[in-house]
Amino acid sequence: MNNSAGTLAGRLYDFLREEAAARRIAAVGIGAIYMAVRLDNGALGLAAAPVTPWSPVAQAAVFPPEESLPGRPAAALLAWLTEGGDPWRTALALATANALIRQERSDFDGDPLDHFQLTAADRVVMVGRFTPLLTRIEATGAALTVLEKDPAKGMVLTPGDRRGRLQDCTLAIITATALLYGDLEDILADLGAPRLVSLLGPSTPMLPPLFAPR
Amino acid sequence: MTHLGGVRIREAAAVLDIVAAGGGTRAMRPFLEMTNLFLKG
Repeated sequence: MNNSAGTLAGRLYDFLREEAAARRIAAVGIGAIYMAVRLDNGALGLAAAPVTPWSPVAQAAVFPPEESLPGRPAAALLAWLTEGGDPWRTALALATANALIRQERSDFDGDPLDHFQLTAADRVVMVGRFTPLLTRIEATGAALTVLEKDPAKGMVLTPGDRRGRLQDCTLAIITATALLYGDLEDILADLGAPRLVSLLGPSTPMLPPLFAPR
Repeated sequence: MTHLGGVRIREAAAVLDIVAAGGGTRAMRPFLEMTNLFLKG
């Protein structure tokens, strides 16, 4: 049963569950920065490894042993998208989803900033720090605010202050890891009328219908 | 959402090894491509 029907995670599950029913997990990689899932057809998907507040012992208590995952039906891991609660399971589910998405279309390959046409008049809000982009954005003269959960990486704001920044920006660059923490919908709801909203990073599900206006 | 920026994996085995070893985007870059889709608002 999909307990998250209507959310982005729930809709992603609904888009892919039929495809998932035909596939099994061939291999899983769990690293400090990313998680990867390879399917029995060779396709591989990525998701950022989430930061959890749990100790390694507590995390291990709720997470299946890594070696037990190969051979499982892809649908079983994909279904973790709809459970919530454990960010590790959600991340592996997102990596499974990204392996299932076979997106052949690309409007362009390479650095997205080349196509954002930033100017000094822009007010950019970056939700999640993308370090490689910072210098290039600042070089355009655009005002840049980095919102983060980690105060060492950016500004940690109250929901009200965050809403104000999001309401005022002309361009929003959002890390796809927001999907793992379940706050992407809130971020999108807080935006005013930016000219561009980008979901960025190797965790991004490249599935346009998922984000179509409803 | 008006833009999606993700990756296309070119060498799955290499990327899987890098992930398991704790590597990040920079280490994976030779084995993947950055792809972009613009969405209609």
